[in-house]
Amino acid sequence: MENVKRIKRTKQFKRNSDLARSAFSHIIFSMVGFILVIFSLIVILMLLWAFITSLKDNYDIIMDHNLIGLPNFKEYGISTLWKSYVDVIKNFGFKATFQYYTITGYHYQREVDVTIFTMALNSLVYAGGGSIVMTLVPAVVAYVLAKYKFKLAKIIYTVALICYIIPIVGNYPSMLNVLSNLGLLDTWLGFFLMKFNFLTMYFFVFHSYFSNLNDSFIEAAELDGANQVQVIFKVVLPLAKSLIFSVLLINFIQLWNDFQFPNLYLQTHPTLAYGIWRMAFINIGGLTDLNQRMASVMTLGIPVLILFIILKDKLMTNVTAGGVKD
Amino acid sequence: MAKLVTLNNIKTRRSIPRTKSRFIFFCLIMLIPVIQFAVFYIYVNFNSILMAFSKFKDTGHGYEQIIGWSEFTSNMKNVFNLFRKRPEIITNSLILFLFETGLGLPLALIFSFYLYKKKPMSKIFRVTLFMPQIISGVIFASIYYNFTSIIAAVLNNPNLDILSSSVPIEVNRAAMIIFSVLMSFGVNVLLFSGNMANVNPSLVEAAELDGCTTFGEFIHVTIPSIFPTIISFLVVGIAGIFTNQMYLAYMNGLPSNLDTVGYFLYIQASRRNYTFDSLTDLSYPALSCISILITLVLFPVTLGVKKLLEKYGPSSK
Repeated sequence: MENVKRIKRTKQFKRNSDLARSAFSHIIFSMVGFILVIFSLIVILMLLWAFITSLKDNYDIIMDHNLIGLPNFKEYGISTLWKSYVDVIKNFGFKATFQYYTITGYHYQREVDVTIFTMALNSLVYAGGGSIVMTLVPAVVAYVLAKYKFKLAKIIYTVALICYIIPIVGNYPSMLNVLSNLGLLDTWLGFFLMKFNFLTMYFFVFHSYFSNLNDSFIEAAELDGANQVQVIFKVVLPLAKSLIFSVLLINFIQLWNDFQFPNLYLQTHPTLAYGIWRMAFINIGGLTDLNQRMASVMTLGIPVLILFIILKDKLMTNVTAGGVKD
Repeated sequence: MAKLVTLNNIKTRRSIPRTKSRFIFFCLIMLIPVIQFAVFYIYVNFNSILMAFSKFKDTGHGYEQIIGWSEFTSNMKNVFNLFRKRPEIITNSLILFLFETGLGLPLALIFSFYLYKKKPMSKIFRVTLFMPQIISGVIFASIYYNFTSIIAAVLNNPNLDILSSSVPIEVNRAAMIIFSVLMSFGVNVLLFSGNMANVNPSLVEAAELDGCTTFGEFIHVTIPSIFPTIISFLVVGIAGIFTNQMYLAYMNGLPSNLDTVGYFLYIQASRRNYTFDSLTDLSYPALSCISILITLVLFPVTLGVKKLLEKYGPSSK
């Protein structure tokens, strides 16, 4: 009888402990959820505030101290909705100049009047062209090193792996020096040559993918008479099109948002990101007001936000897949 | 004599053996990438070492490069003089690393576990956590910079303007560290939660049968299973101690006492100063010395940390 009571007490104790532990887990998860709600609200509110501010009139902000409310259309009219954006497009511009000497003593000099349209075009070339090169070069090189079983391929892969592990920090001066000596600084050719680099994180992602790719696809294509170029571009790359597209997208967004590289290496080819940064933090003409600054910021952000909303699953899947493969 | 081969039951003559043709194609494909690598990686880093041993003289139509041991010692002296006067450049980098690893990493793991367990609103949180990675840092930095001053104005409390020069530098530093940690969550959380999704379900079931709670599963099953990814994060974090700019480049006009090594190197490089060293600015040769010093320090440290974590860290075995 005593044993039965003891067993019942033990079972009750175990049940209570399980309930307590389960309650503890629920409390922890609730706290984490609460923190995530706060974080999400901060992100969304900040973006929303920036967007609403970009729709306001300047007087609405300065004279009426309407810092966080909705735009006052009654007093300033519905045209305030787009006034800041029109001002950004019309008035935002600056003169970009750059000069240096090459190793042969040639004096490179360039002066450009930059408008928002020039910067948008530069952004398209920079982000569009750059992302294509930054995606295809590692993909093709990774395939070749994975599938062409030569000693040289192994040597190149090993050297690439070692170089990737070594953390090289702050070689900007050397890169600038080399580019200016070669006359490639501040040129699109110099930019594309720099981006023709296969040693990126995605090289290893592609290498892993192609290493696991069944050789029968390639053999079948060769048996059908395809040459090596056709095998790569008509068989292999289409098989990896989902991964390639995701990498292309991530590279495009990264380059679209990048302003530091153009600031260093493409002085007279400023992109939108550089222009927005310059406008947001350095006074340029009359565009120092909060509504215009937020309008310029939104000009950069809205295309990427739309892209993100449409393609978010693909973007986030690639990041997680890349993480797994890494 | 061309070799006779059979393809699709058709006899044909191949003038070059298959292996040889593949090798020629391999060499042609690899030619430009290898040359690019040789110039923009090998030569640039060799040039960086050369520049550390150089002084440049402005000739009016370019620069004359003088290479020698005395130039190297002079450059190193200038570097040490600057860091002696501005030790906060290094301490800011280290403080940022400590916060990103000590605070950012545990939070990222906990948030990832929340998403992995598909707890309420996890799909929404995935999007909002990833959004700062997608939308430019310039945008968030600009909004953060202006939003904080607006909040201070609305609440009529200048002490809340955490990025202005009217508050102590420690408040500015804390504000920037918080911003950096918040902006870093996106990719880290998604990477970790992606890895967690690959944890062996039988391990989880076995833990549940043993009476393990969800929190216990996180500590004893999930963390050991994804520890290789955590190692990668830590190794990349250590390698990035001296490249992390703390988003300072995105917010022009903050006090220079907030500079990190990464931001200092970038901003000095953008000044295109080949010749002049002072207690606040360094020339390209001196910056190249810093680059070599950092690489020499970081390389063994990152390898050592990786080996230690692999040897002594938890594993799913």
